[in-house]
Amino acid sequence: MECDRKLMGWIFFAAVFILLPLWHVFNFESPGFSPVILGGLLIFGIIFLFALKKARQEKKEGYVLRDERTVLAHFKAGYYTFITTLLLGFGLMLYNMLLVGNHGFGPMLGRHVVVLFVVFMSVLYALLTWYFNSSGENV
Amino acid sequence: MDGKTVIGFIVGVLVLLTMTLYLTAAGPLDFGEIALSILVLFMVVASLKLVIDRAREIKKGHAGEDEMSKRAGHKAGYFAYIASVWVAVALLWYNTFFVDEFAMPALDFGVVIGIIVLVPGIIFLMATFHFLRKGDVE
Repeated sequence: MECDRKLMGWIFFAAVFILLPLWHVFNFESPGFSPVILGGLLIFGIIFLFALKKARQEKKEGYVLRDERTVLAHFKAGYYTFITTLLLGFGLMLYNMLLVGNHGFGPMLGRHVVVLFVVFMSVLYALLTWYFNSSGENV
Repeated sequence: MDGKTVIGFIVGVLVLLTMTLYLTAAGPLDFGEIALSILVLFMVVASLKLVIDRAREIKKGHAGEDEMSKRAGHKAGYFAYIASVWVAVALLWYNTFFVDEFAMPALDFGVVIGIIVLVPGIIFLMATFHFLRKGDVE
């Protein structure tokens, strides 16, 4: 129970820390994005609550929350997310050099690039962790 | 030498050559450019050291990448991923609140990508060296 509270505290802190600037970007510059962001957050919130419920249930049944296999799945997911992030950075640099101004593509603002990276990395990491955990393909 | 090692070596040398050309043609550099060049140089030298170590292992008849080095890479990648998320969040804070509320200069597209790629890249290389040396891969 104490572990759950600690985890909830960290997640709340991280959510506020990440979402405040996101809200600032989308609320003041392009209000049309706000419902999309809010919808996404709602979906992630529901998924998170289900995951927490499952984790608590497993803990009650006597399983450890993070066994060696799960840790390895997290490491592997983190590694591939990092490599893909590098490729995304390279792709965006190419976009900036080759397409902006040439074929009607507009320049991206620094803050939009950061939002893109945060959302891309979080979603990819979650998907890869789920994939490696469910397929059992660790190292 | 296997294909991966040769490609790694060629990419490292090409990046070094490009940097040398850029630095000789750019003229006087400001502080930001010097700092960025040092970061890139550090990354390239560290990557080349990893590639050379791998080539030596293969020359001795050992496997280029055993299970331990694979796991060390995965663990280092995980830490680099965590670092890149927090670096991105820090940049998000800077580029929104600090720029809008305190009129600080906004970071442009290229600088943001440079920071998000270089800082976790350096953490990845340092963590890989550390885990390989200590053997701490669990």
